[in-house]
Formats: sequence, structure tokens, C-alpha cells
Amino acid sequence: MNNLALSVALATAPSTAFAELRERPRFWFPLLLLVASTVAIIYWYYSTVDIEWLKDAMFSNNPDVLKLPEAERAARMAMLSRNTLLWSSVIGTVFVLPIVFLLSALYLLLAAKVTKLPQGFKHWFAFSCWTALPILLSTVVAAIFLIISDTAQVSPGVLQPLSLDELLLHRPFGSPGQSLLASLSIPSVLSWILMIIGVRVWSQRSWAFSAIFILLPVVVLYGIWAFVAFR
Amino acid sequence: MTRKQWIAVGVIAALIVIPVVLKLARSDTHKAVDVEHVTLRALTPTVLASGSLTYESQVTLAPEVTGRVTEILVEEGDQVKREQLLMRLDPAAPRAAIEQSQAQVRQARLSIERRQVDFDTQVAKVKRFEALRSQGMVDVNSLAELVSARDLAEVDLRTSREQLSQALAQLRQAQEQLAKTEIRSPLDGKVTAIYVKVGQTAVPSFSGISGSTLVDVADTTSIDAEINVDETDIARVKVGLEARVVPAAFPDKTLMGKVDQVAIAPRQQAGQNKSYPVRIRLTNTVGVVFHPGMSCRAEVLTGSQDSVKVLAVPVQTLRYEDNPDKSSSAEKSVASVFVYDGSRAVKRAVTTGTADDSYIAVTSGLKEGEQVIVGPAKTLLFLLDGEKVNINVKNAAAAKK
Repeated sequence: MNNLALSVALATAPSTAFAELRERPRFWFPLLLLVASTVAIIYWYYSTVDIEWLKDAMFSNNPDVLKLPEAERAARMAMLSRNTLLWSSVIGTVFVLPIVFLLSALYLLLAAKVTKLPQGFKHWFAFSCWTALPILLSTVVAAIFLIISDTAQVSPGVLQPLSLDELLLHRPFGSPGQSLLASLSIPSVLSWILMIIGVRVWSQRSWAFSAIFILLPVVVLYGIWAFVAFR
Repeated sequence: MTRKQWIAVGVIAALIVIPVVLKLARSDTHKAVDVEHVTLRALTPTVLASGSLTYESQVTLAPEVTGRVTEILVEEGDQVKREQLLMRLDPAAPRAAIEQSQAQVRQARLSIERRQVDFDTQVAKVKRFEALRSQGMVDVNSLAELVSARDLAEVDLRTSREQLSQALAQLRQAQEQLAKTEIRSPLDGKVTAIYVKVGQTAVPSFSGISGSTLVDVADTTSIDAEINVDETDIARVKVGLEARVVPAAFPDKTLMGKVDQVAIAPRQQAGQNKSYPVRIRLTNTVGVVFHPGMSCRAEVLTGSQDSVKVLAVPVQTLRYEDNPDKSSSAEKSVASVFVYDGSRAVKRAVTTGTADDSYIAVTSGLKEGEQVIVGPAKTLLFLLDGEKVNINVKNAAAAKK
């Protein structure tokens, strides 16, 4: 099964796809596809957005920034240029995405060792990359949003169009908990579902085991994040 | 395609289409704006400056001699007359100096008496020897010695007289020092500040140390505002112009006045622009509870167009952008406003004229009765040409009231 067929299989027959991945673990295709598509959409967004409007939106809703003296706030705003935002986001994506997959793979490897699953690091790294493919859905929707938008004053939320915040809540950018709600998205849920199916296929154990295996760190991570964001 | 594949495609399509539809449904939102009609108005150009209120005539009394403060005869707020005694410094040292000088005067007078006797004796001797010499009874040398002694006695007498003058001068100086221990008011007015206490040492000094200033006395019958006008505005400020002064302590009270004095030389404090002190004589200060040094804000009316009404818009409606025409005759920036056309904000280039604090004249680009968008400030800042807007009903109702 080639990479394209494997991608389609993840959507139509995930058990078959994970069985294939168990036999032939590989990660370059999803990793490069995700990094390239994310970088492209970020570049597009920051190249076209009304940057002064964006800076105002970023600062005017952030309580930490609002506490600062006027002069310091103005200095911080002046430091943020289009290029600064664009390249920091692009470079961040290029480094952060692989690191996130790496950390995910390390957790899965550790959990596998504890639960006596036989797969090694390469398996789990490939597992992390492939199960993150639903992020592509967000990229496609974000691109459509940018095409249909008739103004340059586009909220950064457009980069996460399938998030809980963007779909339902619409909290102001930079407000408390906004980044947490923006990270909870349909692609994340799809990724977790794929991961649970994948663990079940690879471990041949129950759904409950697979769900705990995947969701335990998610619950802990979001629990801490929510505590910090909303306390 | 299998059924499973169709379902997968359907789910993916739904995940793409539903957010797009939701987004499109939400994007039909109008920004709420405040509008104002373009009307004819009389503008009064002003120069704004800040400063402080002060009495027209105010003096700070400083000690001219060093001495301990022994008595303070007034309190802050007391009305005083010219030459009224305000406080006393310890007179012991000047009195001792006077006694010393008086003794020196007496000594100088005695010295004169003594020298006078000596001189008279020498004169008599010379006369006697001259008579004897004419009879050839004494030699020439003896007479010459006596003449010399007489001349020396005369010099000694003059020296003693000069010593007396010197002693008398020292006596006068000591008496003046004694007089300076009594601090008297130089004018009719009010004591506005007392800087020392009984027992404190008054010290003549320019360095502003404690005890170097004693008391402030001011003529409270007339109050001035002393403001600092920026160098870019000073050319428009002239003696005689009317001014409105608002003390910081009474933000609702406007005092009227006239420019009385415009400084020739500027003042410049570190980190600030050059400014010129301007003194405004206030005319209606009756009933104002005044404390000298109160901060105030002043508007000097630099031109009155009471009879000429022009089309004007609030100053905050104007947006300035770099002029794409870079030729030397072109303005560096072009002004524009957003006109509300019933559903959208339409950007319109305008040319502007004189302005006051609130309104600016528009000489072209707008017609009377059109509605310009005046706020909210943040909405106006990021408003785009052609953007859908609607009138903020709440603010419009409040404005009508």
C-alpha cells in the first residue's frame, strides 16, 4: 500500500491502515505534508492580514498586556511587525510540529513498554504522524475561509477553523482560555479516535484499554491547561 | 467506491462545508458606528497650554544675615501692611558688632584729639624757631627738623580723621545688619507661605537649603495664570488676546483673562520641547478659592470667527495617510473621512481648514447634511472603505437627548 492509499485507508478502513503501518512503519509523507501545508497557510494568512488590526486584536483582549503601562504596551506593539509574526510562526511550525510528534511518540513508547506492547520508537513516531493527518481538514477549510473573505481584517482563529472556539464560542483573540478552546478541535477528536483504533489493532486488546492508553495524557494535559487558564 | 468510502467522503465533505456555511452566515455582520451630520459651525482656533496660577505680585523674602529665628509674628493667610514686622532673627551678634564699632569710633576721636595737640605744639615750635632764626640765634638745620616734625604731625592728624571715618562706616554697617534681623513686608498683601520655625537658623544662600527662604508675601488682589506655550504655537500668541483658564482644582469653572505678557526668551527643561512663559491676567476671580501654584489649563483664543460659519466635522473623524503624489508642491499627507451612505462606510478625500479643539473646517469633499462616521474610536481606526456599517442606535438616541 502506497502513502496515498494508506491516507485514504485511514479514513475508510482505519484497521487495515494500522495493520499496514504495523508491518511497514514510515513517517516522512504525513510529516512533510503536515508541515508544508501548515507553513503555507500561515504564510498566506500573515502575508495578507491587516497587521495593525491584528496587533490591536492581540493586545486589546489580553488582560496581562492591558495591565502594562501605556508606553510599554506601545513599545511591545511597535516590536511586532508583519515579518516578525510571519517568520516566528513559520519557524515555530517547522520545529514545533515534529517536536510534538516526537513527544507523542515518546509517551506512546513509554506506555507501550509499561503495557508490554512490542512496537518500537519508529512505529510510534509513524503512528503519531499518520494519526495527525486530520489536521489537513483544518488547513483546507482555512484556505477556503481566506479565499472567501472580503476583508484583510481576518481573525487568527481562521487558522483553526474547526476548533471549538471558532465553531461555537467565538471568544476574543487573546482572551483567557481562548487558546485552550482553539486547540480543542474536530481534527483533534478525529486524531484521538484514530489513535484509539490504532492501539486496539496493534495491541489486540479491548476498546477500554485503547481509550485509556490514548486519552489519559489528553485528560491530564487539558485538565492542567484549563486549571491554569480559568483559575 | 465502497459504502464505507462513500461515508468517509461524506463526513469529510460535511466537515469542510458546514464550517464554511457557518462562516458565511456570520460574515454578514455590520459594524456599529456613531455618526454626526456635517453642519455649519463657527470655529474658534485656540492654542492650548498648561501652567499654574500665581499672584500678579509675589515676593519671597530671604534672610540677608545669618541668625536664629527668635520670633514669628504672622501666620499663613494673614493680611499684612507694607513695612509690617513679620519675624525677628536673633540680634545678639549685630548688637555686639555695633558696640565694637562704637568703641572704635570713640577710640578714633581720642586719637584725633591727641594728634591735634601734637600738631598744635609742632606749629608753635616752628613759629618760635622761625623768629629766633630771623635774629640768627638758631641754625638752619634745627629749623628744618622742626618743620619736618610739624608736617609729620599734620599727616598723623589726617590719618586719625580717616580712621574715624572708617570706624563710623563700620558702625553704620553693623546698624544695618541689626536692621536686617527684622523681616518686614515689602508690600500690602497676604502671607502665603512661611518656610521656617522659631529656633531654626536662617542662612543667606542661593542653594535653596533649609532656612534660605523665610516667607512669601503676595498681593492677592489680582491673579495671573503663568502658562508655558510650546515654541510651535508661540507665534500665534500676542498680548491682549483673550484666554480661557481652567484650574485643575475646579474643572467646571472657566476663568476668563487676557494675555498680559509674552516672554522673549524660551525655557527648556531636560527632555521637553522649548516653551515660552506667557502671563495671563485673570479678570473674574471673585469667589475663587485660590491657592498659589494651582495647576491650570489654558486656551488662548488666537482668532475669532464668530460671524463666519464653515462646514465642519469632529477632528477625530479625520484620517491622514501619506500622499501618493510625491511632487514637491503636493501636501505630505491627505485627509479623508468615512461617510455613511445608508449601509456602508464610504471613504471620501477632503481638504481641511482651520480647527479648534473639537471641530475642523472642511473646505471640500463634503456637503452639508451628509453623515460622517465619528466613532467608536477603535472601529473608526480599522474601518475599511465600503465596509458594511449600521448606526449605533443606543448612542444615536443618547446624542439626540
